[in-house]
Amino acid sequence: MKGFLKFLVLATVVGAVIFFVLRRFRQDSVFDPAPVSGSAGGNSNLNSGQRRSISPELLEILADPADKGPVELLRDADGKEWLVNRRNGYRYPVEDGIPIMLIEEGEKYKDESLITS
Amino acid sequence: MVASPGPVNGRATPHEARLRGLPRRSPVRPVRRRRPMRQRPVTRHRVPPVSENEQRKSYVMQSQPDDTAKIQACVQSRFAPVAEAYVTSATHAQGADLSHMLALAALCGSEQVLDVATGGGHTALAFAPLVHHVIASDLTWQMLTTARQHITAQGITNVGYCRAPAECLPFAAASFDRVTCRLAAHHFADIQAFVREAAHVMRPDALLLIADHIGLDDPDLDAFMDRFERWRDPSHVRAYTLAEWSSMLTSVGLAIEHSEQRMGEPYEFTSWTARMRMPDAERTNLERWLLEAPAPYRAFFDIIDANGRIISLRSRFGIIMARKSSR
Repeated sequence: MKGFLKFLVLATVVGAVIFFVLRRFRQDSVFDPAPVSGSAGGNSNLNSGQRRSISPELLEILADPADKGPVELLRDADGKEWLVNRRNGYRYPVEDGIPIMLIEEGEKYKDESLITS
Repeated sequence: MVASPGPVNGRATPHEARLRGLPRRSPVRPVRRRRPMRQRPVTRHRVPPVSENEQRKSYVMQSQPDDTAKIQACVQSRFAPVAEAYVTSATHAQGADLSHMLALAALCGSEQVLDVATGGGHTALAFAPLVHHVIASDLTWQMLTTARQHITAQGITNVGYCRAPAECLPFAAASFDRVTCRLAAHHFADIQAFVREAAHVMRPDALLLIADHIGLDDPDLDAFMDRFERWRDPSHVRAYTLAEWSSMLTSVGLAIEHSEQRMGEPYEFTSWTARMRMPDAERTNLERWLLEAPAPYRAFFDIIDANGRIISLRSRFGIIMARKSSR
């Protein structure tokens, strides 16, 4: 019984430490990178730190695979980058600096609140 | 002996079951509306007889509307676990076709290049030092990250990476001066869609350079080649003949300026089958089938054996270069 209580206390302490470290890290990562500007040009400073980024040459010509229209680079509250089609709200994820331009992915993360027309 | 599975519904061998597994990262659902290009039914041709339980039909042979998704899933599940092997493969890294492609491309240094289905990234790596910028695209995530690692390790920084199917390219019209595609077109689920998309992203006067397996005009020889290629790699969809390339490219406004074909470097049987992680039982079956091939086939494909083991064989390869009209 005593051993179990000891274990419980230890587990709580370890859990709390991990929680605070993670929270701190997440806060850092939200504020660390430069904010992505509204326009999809290659002008935003994405080459910060060890973060991998989309090359400006690629960003300039990237298009929605379905309608071939332009996409806009946006960053969500968690700091994750998305390539957004403002015409239909499709959002294409950017994983480790590589855009995932599969129509089914864009559809999966669709956010209609991003549509401007 | 492996039980012979039905093409789609029957019990699958462990090998096939693994191949059919959908990728972990993102399930590929049917999105393309187009049917794959009409494929010549292999069964029409007389192929050397094989015993019933060696019949191993691949599910990619049927032309169903949802084939594209199936083939794309198959390609990804095949290449994801062997990405590293393609980076280190001598055939892929140092083929004579690669330097020939570079020479044909007549680069001046300011080009924007797209390498479709970059695989191990060898073509992107070869072009990068000679042009302004290269975009390497591939359907398989693991191939992209492995290629990036390989390319950046050489100190190359003017390459961008993008995950996309060859049949649906995510680029604005008229973006590239050169589009390359090496040793990959035979995997594409919808070759006509790839050709159309490539033409769309090419600038006027831009060049498309394709190096790949080339189909044979003789239907029997073609069926034989198709059989051993697909047996070893079920994601091998088809090798198109020069005539087929010509009609496909012409239909999208590209004019062929150069084409050539020749027998490729011999496949060293052991490493050739190992690179795709062919299971032992399948390899044994393929080996036996090759050993029993009639003399004309043995001669044409240069099948060499010793002590009842296949040492090597050869397949047909070629390069095609086409230009987009300048209007």
